[in-house]
Amino acid sequence: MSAAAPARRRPRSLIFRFVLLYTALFSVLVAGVLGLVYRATVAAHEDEADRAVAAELQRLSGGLVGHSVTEMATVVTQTSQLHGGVTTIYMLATEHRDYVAGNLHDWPAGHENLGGGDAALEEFPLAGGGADARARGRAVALPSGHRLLVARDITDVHELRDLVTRWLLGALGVTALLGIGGGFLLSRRLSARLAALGRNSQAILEGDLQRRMPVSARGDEFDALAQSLNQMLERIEALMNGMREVSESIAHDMRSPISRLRSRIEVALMQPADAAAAREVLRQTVTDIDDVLGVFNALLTIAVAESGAPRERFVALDLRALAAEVVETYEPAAAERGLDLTLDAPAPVPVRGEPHLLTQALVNLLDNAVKYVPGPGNVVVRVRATPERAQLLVADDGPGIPASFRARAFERFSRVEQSRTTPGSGLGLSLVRAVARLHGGEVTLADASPGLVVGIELPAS
Amino acid sequence: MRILLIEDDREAARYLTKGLAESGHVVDHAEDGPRGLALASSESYDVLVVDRMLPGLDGLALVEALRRSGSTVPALILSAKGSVEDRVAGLRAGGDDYLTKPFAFAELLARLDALVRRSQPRAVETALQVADLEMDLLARTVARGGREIELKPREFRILEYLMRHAGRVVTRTMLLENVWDYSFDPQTNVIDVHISRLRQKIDPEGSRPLLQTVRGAGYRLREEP
Repeated sequence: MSAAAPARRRPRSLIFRFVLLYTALFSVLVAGVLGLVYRATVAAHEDEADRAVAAELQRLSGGLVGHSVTEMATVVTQTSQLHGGVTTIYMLATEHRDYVAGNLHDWPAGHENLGGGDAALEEFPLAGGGADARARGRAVALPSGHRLLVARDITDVHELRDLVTRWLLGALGVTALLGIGGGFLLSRRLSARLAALGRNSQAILEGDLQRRMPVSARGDEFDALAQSLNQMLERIEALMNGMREVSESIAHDMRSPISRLRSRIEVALMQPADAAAAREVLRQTVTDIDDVLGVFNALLTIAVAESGAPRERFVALDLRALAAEVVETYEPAAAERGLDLTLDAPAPVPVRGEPHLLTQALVNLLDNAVKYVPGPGNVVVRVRATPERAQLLVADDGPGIPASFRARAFERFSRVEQSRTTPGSGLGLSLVRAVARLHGGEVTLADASPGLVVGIELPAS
Repeated sequence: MRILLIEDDREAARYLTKGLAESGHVVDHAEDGPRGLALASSESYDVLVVDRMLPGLDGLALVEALRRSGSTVPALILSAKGSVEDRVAGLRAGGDDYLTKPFAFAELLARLDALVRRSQPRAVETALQVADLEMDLLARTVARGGREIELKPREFRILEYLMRHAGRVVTRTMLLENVWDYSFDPQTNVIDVHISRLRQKIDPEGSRPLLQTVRGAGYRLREEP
């Protein structure tokens, strides 16, 4: 029981771990896609602004070189009126960043150099606009020592960027949240259904053998699993019942010969010692024990055939050759009892099978024929092949089996009432059926009027 | 002959030792695998009787180890497992014969006898002879006192087996296993009928009977002393 203890520990949910992993991967993917979206909108906007500012600055500063302050102020004022408008900002300032001309009146505080010539554009807060107003620009020093600043009002772009960033982060958050939340719910749901299977297995383990797995109307994978588990449990139960019946039959069938043995020996012990009589008792005892062992061996062979294990030893064989060997073996014994045993097999009949068990099945059928058909009589072993089936028939003209008994004839220890006095275990036909089924075939009993036809049908190889 | 019995069931070992000793054999007994292997490797025996399930070292491993060390002493494996695969495994491990428990003591004696005889080296035989019964293995003919006898293939094989074990008891099970390759006993006395047919052919009226029935054990082919 100690081995079961670690298994009972609540397992970390495999599904939840899968969902987390999947969510992480998916989030990376979403982040990548959103990054592209960001580049395509905000960054593209900014780049465009940067290029425009750089071009304007170059154009304007080139035009101002060599002019007086007044002329420069006029050009800047005109340009700012012409192109400035809302979005482009111009400022011509002195060396000390004091206003000369343009539509920006105060040099942005803290940005004295503002890009310092060739450097990249700088962002600065835009005085006079709203609290969020920002611009992006650059300043150059003119040969006269004046400074020219050109910038782009990027308040809108900034807002767009903030908006896009907020949305993108939001989308990422929602993705992660849905992933983790969904994963949690999914794993809880799957865990609950797995736990139901586990609880039922545990109950069966603890002895409630009638218990079955719950099957819902949804018909999903879990239901399919539960159904096949239930089928497995049915099969196990049927096998266990079979085993129980066999053990009860064995107990019943063994009890009488063993009791007989016991009383015979007991009686022998009560009588005064007589070596000859004692030897006779012992001799009979050995014979009886051999019968008991014979029954055990027959039961074991049936059990092995029913287990399906001999399938591993299947080989390609010719049923006609196999039947010919057995017929040849039985012919003298049958002749001695006035029976004419013949083989009727015009062509080879290839099958896949276990030769020892197939031989034993035919031997059992011929044992029965030799035992129950009174001479003079005929026994024919017929072997035929159709494209799908291989057929082995043993037909006799003996008393046959009453129709009422045929259904039970294959059960273990079942014997026709009149035959109780003849020696036999009632296991011969059970073995024949077990062997036929092992080979994927079936065995049938039919009336040959008069006589019996036992037919074994096997799949053709 | 000198027999080493390797068997852990003391009760079984006691009666086997007693029975073998009463049949005129000298028996040593080992109770487990390692001791059995040590005795089998150091002493000289005519035949080993090895139980399959042994403490320490199981019977099959013991025989395998013995064969690897170059020993060819015949070994009979005793086992409660009687299926075809079990027999095959036993013989593949280097066992020379395989007997399923429970068995008749006469069966064990007959098999040990056959094993010891078989292990004695001899030239490749082309003919067998018992008294005036001759078998030509190449021409596949049989003659008694110079007169040829017609035998069916199965009868020929039965007689060949009996002649190879001439003077010794051959049980029905030995015939079933070696001539028919059956590992089960049919309920019908098929063997007896085949033997009686064979007897009619090789022991005609007026000749000295060679093929005898040994009550409770099997058959024996020999000239009456």
